[in-house]
Amino acid sequence: MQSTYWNEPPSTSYKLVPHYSDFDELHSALTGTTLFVFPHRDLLLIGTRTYNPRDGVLASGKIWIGTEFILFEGSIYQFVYNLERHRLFNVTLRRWLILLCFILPATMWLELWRVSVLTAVLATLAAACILAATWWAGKQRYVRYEEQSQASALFRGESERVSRTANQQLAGSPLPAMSKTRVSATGFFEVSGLRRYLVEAPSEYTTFETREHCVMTRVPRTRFLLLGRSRECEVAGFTSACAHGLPCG
Amino acid sequence: MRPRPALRLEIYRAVDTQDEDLYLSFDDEATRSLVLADLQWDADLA
Repeated sequence: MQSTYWNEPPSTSYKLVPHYSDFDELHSALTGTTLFVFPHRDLLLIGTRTYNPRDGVLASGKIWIGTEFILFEGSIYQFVYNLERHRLFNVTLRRWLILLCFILPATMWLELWRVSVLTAVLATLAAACILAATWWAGKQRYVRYEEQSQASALFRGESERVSRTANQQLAGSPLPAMSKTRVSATGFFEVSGLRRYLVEAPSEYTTFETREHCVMTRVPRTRFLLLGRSRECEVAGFTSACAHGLPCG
Repeated sequence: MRPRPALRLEIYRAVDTQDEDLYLSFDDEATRSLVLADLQWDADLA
C-alpha cells in the first residue's frame, strides 16, 4: 500500500485507500483507522452529517418535508452556484460576472464604447438585474425549500414530542445497515479542515451498524461554460472519522 | 431544476455551537419515504 498523499503533510494514523470503489471499503477505512486518502482526482467529502441518535443529536421535530427548486428560480440558483464554484485565473466566475456588470455599463456611459443612450440604459438595467439575481441567489444559499403542511404539522416544534414506539410505527422499517441510498445533498461538508457548501451534490446516504447516519459526496473536477474550472485543492483530500462522530479504533 | 421531494435535517453539532441544516432531495417519493423511515427509526422522541 502506497503512502502517497496529496494536499496535506503526513500525520499520524493516516491510511491510504487505494481505490475508492466501494462504500464498505470506505466504512472499513473509517472504523479501522482514523484517516484515509483518495488517490484519484475526485474529492470525497464526508460532512458533519452524522449523528448518533443515542446521544440525542437528532432532535425531535426537526425533520421537515418539502419540495425545493422552483423551476425558474432554481435554474438561476443553479447557474449562480456554478459561477461560484468555478474559477478563472483563481477568481470565481461570479466575481468576474459582477465585475463585468460594472465595467460594461461604465464604458457605455463614459463613452469609451459609443452606443445609443437606449442601449446604455438597457445594458445598465440588465446588469442591475444580474447583480440582484446573484445577490439573491447567494442570500438564499442557492436553495429554495418549501415545507409541506402535513409534515410541518407532524414534526413541528420540540413541544410536539411523540413516543419512540409511536414514531417507529409511523416510520415503518429502517434501512439495512450499510445500504446505500442515492440522494442529493445540500449543506456544508468537510474533509480535513476543508469546508465547502455544496448544493444538490450527488451523494450517498447510509446508516452504519451503529445506527449512525452519514451522507457522503464526491466532488469531481468540473468545468463550467468552458471558462472556469473547479479548484484543484478540492480534488483530493483527507478526512477524519473522529471529526464526524464515528467510532475510531 | 424541477421541484424534488426533499427532507430538511437540522444537524446538532456537539463540537461547534452552530447548528446547521442539511437538505436531502430525492428522485422520487418512495426513496424519500425510505430515508425518512430510517431517520425516524432512530429518533428518540420520547
